[in-house]
Amino acid sequence: MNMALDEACMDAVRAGAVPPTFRLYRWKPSAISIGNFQCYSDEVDAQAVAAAGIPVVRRLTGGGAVYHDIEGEITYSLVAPASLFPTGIADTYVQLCGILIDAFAELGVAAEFRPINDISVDGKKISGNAQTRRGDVLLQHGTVLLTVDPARMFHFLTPDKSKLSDKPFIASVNAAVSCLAEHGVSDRAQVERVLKGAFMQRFPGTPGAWTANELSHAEKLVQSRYGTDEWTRLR
Amino acid sequence: MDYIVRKFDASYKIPGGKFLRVRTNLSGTYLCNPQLSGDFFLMPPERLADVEKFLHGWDLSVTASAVQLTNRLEKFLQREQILFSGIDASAISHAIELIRENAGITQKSARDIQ
Repeated sequence: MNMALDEACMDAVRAGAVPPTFRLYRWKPSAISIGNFQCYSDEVDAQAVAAAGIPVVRRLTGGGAVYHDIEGEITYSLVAPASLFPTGIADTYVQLCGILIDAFAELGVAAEFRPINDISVDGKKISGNAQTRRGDVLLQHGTVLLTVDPARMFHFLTPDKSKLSDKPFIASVNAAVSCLAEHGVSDRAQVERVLKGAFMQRFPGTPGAWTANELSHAEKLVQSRYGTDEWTRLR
Repeated sequence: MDYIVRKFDASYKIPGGKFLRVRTNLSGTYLCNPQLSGDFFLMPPERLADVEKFLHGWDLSVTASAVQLTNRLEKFLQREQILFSGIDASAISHAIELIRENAGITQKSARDIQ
């Protein structure tokens, strides 16, 4: 439902029915999302996810596969007019990841932008971000790792080893990820408060709720797209 | 003459960029229904099928095929206002060149063609 809600929100913002929207959420149960252009069988161990009852969904945004652990991961999404951002994908990542980096700094974690769309601490990825545009509206998803169990994550995800080919200092995918808890930050409520504050400072707004139209549109999108094998295994 | 259709794939991680995999059938020396996948970004996202369609029918036996493909693909992307991030035309050509090598397709010189 999460991906359907983001798309429904995108359509509502485009129609001028709702204001630009920032939200923080978690996945229940833990789930996997794969990038719009990824091949399902390349990225996911189908037997492992079936055995563990882990749902898999294809995102509207590009980028890589993410294991959304219900306890250890925070997802954000931002839907806003594209006119608020640079024209290019890469420049927009610089701007939006900058907000996250400021938030991490407020939490006492020195993070840095790792082009094209990642944020790392001490060379290890702590946040991945993915973006798409439809018409004149931008949707950016992102993940922040609060805690991480690499062995569990890579029990389900099967990234190609060549993805580390330009990071010779990292021995394995398990060693390529970090989390806020490793840097002394493990209070989810605190992290969510700081993230929300950082985005609200850049994009002022007020708390809101889904409209009835957004909810009904999202439910239809689950039926027609996100809940279907045809979409999930598109590639 | 009927050609045997064979399946090939090649992957390429662009240094500092994204991962690309190309899966394709080869009909003789021609790309047939190639499919691109990876963790790259594309605007507009629905145009990936058009890029794949552009690649369909490309003859891997042509001299300097990779260079020609890069140039033509760049022009196509520019004309169609299709924008990749994390990969580019040369990365796609590189992956296809790997397929050519794996398939053992020898490039013909201009003299061979004559």
